[in-house]
Amino acid sequence: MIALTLYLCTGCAVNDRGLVTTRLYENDTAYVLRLEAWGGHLITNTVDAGLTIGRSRRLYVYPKPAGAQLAVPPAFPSETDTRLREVPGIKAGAALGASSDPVALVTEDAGLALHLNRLRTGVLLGARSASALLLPRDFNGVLLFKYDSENSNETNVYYLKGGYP
Amino acid sequence: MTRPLLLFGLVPALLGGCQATHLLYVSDTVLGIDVAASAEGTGHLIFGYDRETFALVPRKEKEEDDNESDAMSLSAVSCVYADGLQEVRFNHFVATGPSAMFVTEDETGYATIRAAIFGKEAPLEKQGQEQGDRPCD
Repeated sequence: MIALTLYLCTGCAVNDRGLVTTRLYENDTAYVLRLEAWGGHLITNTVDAGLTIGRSRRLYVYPKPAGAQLAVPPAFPSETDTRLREVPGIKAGAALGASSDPVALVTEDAGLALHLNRLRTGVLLGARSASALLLPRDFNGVLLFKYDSENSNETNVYYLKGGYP
Repeated sequence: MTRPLLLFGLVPALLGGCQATHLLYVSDTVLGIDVAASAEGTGHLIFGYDRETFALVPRKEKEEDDNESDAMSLSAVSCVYADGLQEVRFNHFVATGPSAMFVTEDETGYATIRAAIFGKEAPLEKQGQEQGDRPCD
């Protein structure tokens, strides 16, 4: 119990704060936030809320606000439109503070995890890998998401709200 | 065992207002012990390995004089591949609402999207299925 308490106290993270590795990527239509934490990781967004004790890896796709989208959206996104670039030296929380819930996510848990969120309510002891897309039923637009766990640096995203011209 | 599972099923139902409010595509793989209720409302108890992949298409919001509403308009191209917990490819293109109609009317554009999602330009029935190819790559 003492060892577990010490372990938790020395390795705690809440969302993108604390002992967690954070990387932020973007293109013209979306942000992608990657988190990796060892120890305790508490997530509070409604799509992925829960607590993981062990190893936690997350990838969230957040749409950019309408004002930041392309002036003339292409009918179909090209490779260039979907490619992401890393945003150096920026605090992820500041960039995403005003954003809504993610529209796509990839999660990996190893250890003990408690989940209470829109996708799942439950308890896990072991390992879990999950990928999901979530769009509100009144959404009118396009979402492209390409993820390969063996090449996650090449993730492609395109988010266009409001439909085609 | 039934009661806890019912409880786990009840919580997300309450959170979601008893009716699906989101379009969902989910791929979920578990190794170990897992007691949970997933988004589609079913409870499960897993001891070992399990994988589930599903889509949930909600109904449109009801008009005032409608007794029933249709499923939301949707056009999607998806390719999901999982090999254990380590190798996952999750490729989706989704267009909803009026955008879904625009997408399906443009055959060239739609073929481009299929190629992007499945990984190469090939007849629809062959995409991602040829020997030696990595599916969805």
